[in-house]
Amino acid sequence: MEDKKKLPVTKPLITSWQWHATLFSILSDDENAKKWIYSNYIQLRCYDIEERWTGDTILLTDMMPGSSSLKQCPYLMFSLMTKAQIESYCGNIIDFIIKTIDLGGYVYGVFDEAKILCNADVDYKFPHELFIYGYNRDKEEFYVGDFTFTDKYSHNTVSFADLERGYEVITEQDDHIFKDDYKGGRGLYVIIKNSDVPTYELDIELVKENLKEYLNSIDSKNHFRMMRNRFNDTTFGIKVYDKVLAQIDKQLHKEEPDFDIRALHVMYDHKALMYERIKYLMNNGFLKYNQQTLDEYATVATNVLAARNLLLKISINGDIEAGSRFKIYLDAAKEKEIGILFKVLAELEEN
Amino acid sequence: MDKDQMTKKLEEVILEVLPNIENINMTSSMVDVFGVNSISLINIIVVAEAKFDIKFTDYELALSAYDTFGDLLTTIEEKLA
Repeated sequence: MEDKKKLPVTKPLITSWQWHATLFSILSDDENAKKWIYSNYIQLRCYDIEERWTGDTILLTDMMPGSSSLKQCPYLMFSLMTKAQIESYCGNIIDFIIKTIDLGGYVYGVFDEAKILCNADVDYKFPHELFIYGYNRDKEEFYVGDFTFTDKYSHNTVSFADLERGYEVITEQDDHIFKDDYKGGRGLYVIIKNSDVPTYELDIELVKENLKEYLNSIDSKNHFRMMRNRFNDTTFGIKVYDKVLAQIDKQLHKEEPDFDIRALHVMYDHKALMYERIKYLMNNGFLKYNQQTLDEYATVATNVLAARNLLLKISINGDIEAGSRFKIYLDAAKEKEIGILFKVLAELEEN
Repeated sequence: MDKDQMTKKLEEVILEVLPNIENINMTSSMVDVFGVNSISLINIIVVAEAKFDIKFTDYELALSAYDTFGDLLTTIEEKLA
């Protein structure tokens, strides 16, 4: 065993949710994986969900594929290890993670990130997914990626002892990944990057289908049947702008205003990735290179970012009246995005 | 207010938001050296708006608009001019 090992990670192109931040931490710079990445993440969807820990209703917004992307991506080998397997093979979780990293495997699973991993002075657990990509035996710490440590996705360290305790206190009921995907149980996932051999070409038909579905707010579940498509009240595509706008208005005008920025953050990441996708399609001959289109699409992302940052600012200064500006930014972004993506789609259809 | 006074005042604002920062300067990377993120930047801007009696637009809240605290100082300077 080595004293210290870090598997390669890069600053993720998008973060949004832990599953995206993890996949993009591993694959953002991989030329083969880009063909799969840019074939996907085009459709947006949202639905109301009761947040597990607070009981609040939140508008869960995500790109498609969502949390199943780690399993579906052809450039990741994704294995499930039950707690019983881990204990049988290695005796304890620390040795299991170190051995897995030595063999080139990243580790992903649910840990308590409130009291234990973040030393928060609270009397409840916060079960959250953690991405582990390295270890240092001298310092007895793991290298991890998550949102919880700095309010923003970051790569950080967690001690062996805290990580072990943070794992042990999570019950089968707390482990939402296993509960949702496997109807119970407890364990960890091992993710191995497997992208040396190109096995997936850019799926231009899927790009076109998804663009049509995004622009017309059509249900895309049939393209993503591997996902947990359990909701019948899902909003798809461009209509997500209206749902998010309505949600922000509702949040700000509650008796105790709520400043959940997650939906706007996902929307911003969606625009940032769409910009990169259009550029990629241009650079690889699927579209004619057109700087004006890129510049105009950049304003879509800029407007959504202005909306996200405005919500952050209101959460700090309490200036609820400033919320009238959300509609300006989101309407401007929506109108511009529709115009550009219809042109992109028309050009792809011609070729 | 001259530039030195503005710099001193901005440093006070930054330290009010990020009290653990050491050796603050206007030329190092805000993100890499001082660990500023989107949330802490907007916190700094909210305090700066009050202290300098200025307003930032919502587009000026983007972290990507500033590499250093010096860039933030330049924006404040332009607003006070």
